[in-house]
Amino acid sequence: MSRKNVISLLVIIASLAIIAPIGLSQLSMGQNLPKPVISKMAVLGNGIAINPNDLTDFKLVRAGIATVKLHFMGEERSITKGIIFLDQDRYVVNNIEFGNETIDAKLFVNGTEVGSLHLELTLKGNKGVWVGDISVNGETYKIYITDVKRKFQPSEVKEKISEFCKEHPAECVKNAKGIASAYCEKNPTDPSCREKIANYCKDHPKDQRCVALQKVYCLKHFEDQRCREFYSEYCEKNKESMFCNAFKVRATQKFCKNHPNARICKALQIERKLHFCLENPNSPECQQMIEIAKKNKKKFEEKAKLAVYCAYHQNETKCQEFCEVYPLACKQIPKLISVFNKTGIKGIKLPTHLTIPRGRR
Amino acid sequence: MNALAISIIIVGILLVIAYFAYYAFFQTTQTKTEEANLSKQSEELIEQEIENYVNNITEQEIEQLLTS
Repeated sequence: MSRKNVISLLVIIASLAIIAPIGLSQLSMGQNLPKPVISKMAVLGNGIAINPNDLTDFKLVRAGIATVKLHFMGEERSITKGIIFLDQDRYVVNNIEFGNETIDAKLFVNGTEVGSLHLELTLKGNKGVWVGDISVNGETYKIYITDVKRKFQPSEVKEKISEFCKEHPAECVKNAKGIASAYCEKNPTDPSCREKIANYCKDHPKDQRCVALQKVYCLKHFEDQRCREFYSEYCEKNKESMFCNAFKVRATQKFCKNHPNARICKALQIERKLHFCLENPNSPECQQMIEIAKKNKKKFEEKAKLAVYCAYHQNETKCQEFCEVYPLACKQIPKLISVFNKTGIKGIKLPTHLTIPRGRR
Repeated sequence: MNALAISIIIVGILLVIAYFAYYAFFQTTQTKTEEANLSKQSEELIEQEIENYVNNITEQEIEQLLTS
């Protein structure tokens, strides 16, 4: 290697070392970060925090806890944060851990930890309420935060439907018949199909098929306030819907496990046991439902008969929702019938002229 | 290859190492800045949601909560 070449090489390396970081730095500084979007809105509401040792010591609460998503340089970043106002004092909520309809977190002011938060989701009517404890500066308060009306925005409908269709392509295409082409019905996993469905629902969020998609998506995502709001509104108009019963039971599942004697949990006792057996017809714990059903035959009879009837008559309009909510019950009809027969309720058996189709035995 | 050439190559290698070290440091700093930005933007977005959708609690709501 000649001396001239070595020097040239050195000059190139030195230039790279100096120019590249500066260039990158300028690129980064000059670039506007894209706007983040809310991926999950766990808490958004107002309420009250009461010191149980001094009832005159209470604070008005406004709170929001959300997972925020940002697409940056082809990479998806997400962060879970929250803000809580106790009267006029502002706290940042960090170190957030989501359980099944529970939240545990720490509170910070100017980066310094000042307290903690524990919340459990329950329902009041169809409205979500977070109940729990908040500790700030050594004082512990009982806290109640009720959901506010904050629906999915059209762009959020698009994102959630796209997400649902990616995870459940067949269910997505089935609910979106007519939106996507016949090609999509045969190829539900094609990304262009879910894109088409999601875009349509962004422009027509009230279309029945888009509502149906939101309904099935939200049944699995009660931890999102927008889903609770969706059901709150839907169940006002469709009180007898299978989805609404499932909504009440599922949204209070964890709460009722921790507080079985709470008013709402007692009121939903039969639904909870029935729901469990419809989801797990083979579970030995269904015995509990059988015992409760024996003691509450009148209350239970109608629900049990409907469940068995719908498991068998899946295509009837009034039963279509049933198998969407309880797919396992519909696949294991004989098991379901044998469980319900043990309750002693008459009329649970299938009509004698009907036989169980092959494949469901 | 004479001694000068060897020295120049060694300096070159050292410069390359320095470059990568500096770049790694720069990347870490940039990531931290991005995270701080994202964190700040998230707080602003959530606060905006509170501003837009959550009103101050009304007397009626307090009564409802206390009597429920």
